[in-house]
Amino acid sequence: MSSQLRVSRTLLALGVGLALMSGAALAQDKAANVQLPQQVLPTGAEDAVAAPAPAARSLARSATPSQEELIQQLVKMTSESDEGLTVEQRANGVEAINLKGQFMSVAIATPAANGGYVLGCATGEDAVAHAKHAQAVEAGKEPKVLLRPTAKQQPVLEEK
Amino acid sequence: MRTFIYGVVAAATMALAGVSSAFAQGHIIIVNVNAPGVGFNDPTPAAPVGGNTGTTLGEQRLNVFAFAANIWEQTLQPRTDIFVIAQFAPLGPNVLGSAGATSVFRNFQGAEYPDTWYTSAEADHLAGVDLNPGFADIQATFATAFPFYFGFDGNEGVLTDLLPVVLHELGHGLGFANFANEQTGTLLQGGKDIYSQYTVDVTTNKLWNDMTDAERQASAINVRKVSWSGINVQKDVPKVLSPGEPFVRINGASPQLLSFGTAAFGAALTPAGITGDVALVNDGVGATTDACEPIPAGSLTGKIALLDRGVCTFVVKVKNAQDAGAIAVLAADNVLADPPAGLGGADPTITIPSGRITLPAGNAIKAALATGTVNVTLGLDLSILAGTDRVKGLMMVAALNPVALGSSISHWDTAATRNQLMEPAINVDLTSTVTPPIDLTSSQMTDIGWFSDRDGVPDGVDNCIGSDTRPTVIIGTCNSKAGNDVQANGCTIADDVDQCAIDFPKKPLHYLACVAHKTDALRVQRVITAREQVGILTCTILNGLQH
Repeated sequence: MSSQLRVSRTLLALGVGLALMSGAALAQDKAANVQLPQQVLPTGAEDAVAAPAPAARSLARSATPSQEELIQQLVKMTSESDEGLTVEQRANGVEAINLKGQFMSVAIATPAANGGYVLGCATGEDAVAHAKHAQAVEAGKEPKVLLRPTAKQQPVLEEK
Repeated sequence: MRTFIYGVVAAATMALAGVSSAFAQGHIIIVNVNAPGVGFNDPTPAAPVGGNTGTTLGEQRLNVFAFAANIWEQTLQPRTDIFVIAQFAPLGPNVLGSAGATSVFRNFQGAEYPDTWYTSAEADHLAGVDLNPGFADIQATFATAFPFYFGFDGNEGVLTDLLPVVLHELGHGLGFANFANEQTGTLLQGGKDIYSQYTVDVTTNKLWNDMTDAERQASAINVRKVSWSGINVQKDVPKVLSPGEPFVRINGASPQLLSFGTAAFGAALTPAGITGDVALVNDGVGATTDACEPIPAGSLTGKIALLDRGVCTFVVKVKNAQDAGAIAVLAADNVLADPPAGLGGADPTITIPSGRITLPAGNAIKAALATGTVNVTLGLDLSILAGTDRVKGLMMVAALNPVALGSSISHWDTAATRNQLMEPAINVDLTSTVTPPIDLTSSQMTDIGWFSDRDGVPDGVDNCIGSDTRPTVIIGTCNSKAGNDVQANGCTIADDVDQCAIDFPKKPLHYLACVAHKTDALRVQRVITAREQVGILTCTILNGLQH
């Protein structure tokens, strides 16, 4: 790599660093928005805006979401429906689908009797049911998992 | 300032992608998108723990992500940078975290299969370029309000070890996932995906990509009959899994194996097994087959007790049956769930083996008991590697009935022993190793093409990954000038010759005989000419003399 390129890289990194320190470039809108932080240098115009930037609003909103909002978020992120997803044609015959935050796998923790948690991974409708079950166990409405799974055991319930 | 550094690296690397070599080693880069003061940037002081040297909560979180990313990076050696956009944020109740691919690609240069979806991360790697510049390949969100353990040493105690959870979820984003809807059987926009290319129903012997939607829907609930066909997992299974699969068999002219979930208490099953006639429990109170009340002493002597799930705990039921003389217990489920879960509980006074069978199996035995005797054996089959199917001996994926989307198929079956990272249960005995002889995830990643040698034979059916693909067969420094064709099994002629050297080290005559034998076959098949065979043998002799 040439020294010129190294210098350019350093300058770029410093510039991006400044942008990141401003906080604006790091904001993420929603789960489906997965664009990487851009190199946005502060111009001072941001300071004149009374309301927070849209992404910042999103983060503020997500700070205290309701249970229902969280469930809806879970339903959306674990959906395996391709409704609304479209195939995008790219150059050279390449095709792409933006999954829009769907097809996520989620890790769910169910309380265990020893004070720890049994962990599972799921998506789709099972994920929501799984999470609701874990919440019910947490609330004492359903019995706790007796043992944490080990080498030969699956997460089994001391159930009736 | 780790957050800042990651952000800089991410953005800088992205911007410089155009000048980086297509074959340069890439990195798996965590892009922290938390706002200042929260998540990865949480300044709450924290004491270093288990090798994690972070001194704030945010630093420790980020260090775990970086540690997991580094494990995957060292394992997969990506050719391009892979961006994981990550944050800690509020999630649903008891949801620890989520992750997955942001997008999928097909028909890009370097894809081993046409018209087949690959995760963004793998597609970038195979293409050697970022197919979606400026966008992340994987997104991950983990819960802020959860008592994670942030060490790297597995000493989490009653806390929840974050590292294996992050490793597992990133594994899905890197390619351990299909894009089929198991409930409907449909594929993503009707298109094949690379995971489904190696998902085979061992009953129909059909790959998921080759099935109709109806066939796929049926296969999704073909319990313990859906497996992974990739050759690399096949090769590594004996190194990783232990022999011994629990079974329940109904004896008779046509023996029938039942799905079975073993108990966490009582005697373990043995290869010798335990055989006896089944007796349906009658405790004389309420639902008389639930075994929740004491059963008349001696009424089950020498019998294998069949009882129903419900009302009281499994240890109460099994203890009551044991006290009545039973030698083993089958607990019939009261809901449809196949494979059945095990039986939880603990009671050191229980000394007989027990386990759960499915609701239909329980009903079938009851019906048979109405007209005669039913003789069963509970045992441990040492001829089966735990986690492989009984038809082809392939590693099973999790086919569940009723289907559980996402938990189905895109995980290994829970029967695997030792426990595997990509089972739906993230078990406490997992290590941070993703390679054999500990774990099969890297083998699966090899099958789907992460280490493609671009010889035209997809790696999941390629016996020689990393082939010598030079145009002619070169042995040592000797060029035989024989064409070095790739054969249907993915091996080149040079690979075959090399294998002879590996098989017969320091045995030049055996080495020569091996090469002669192989080249004879190739000549007969008209893969090489007689002149080419002479060239190969000449080089073999010279190479043998040199060594």
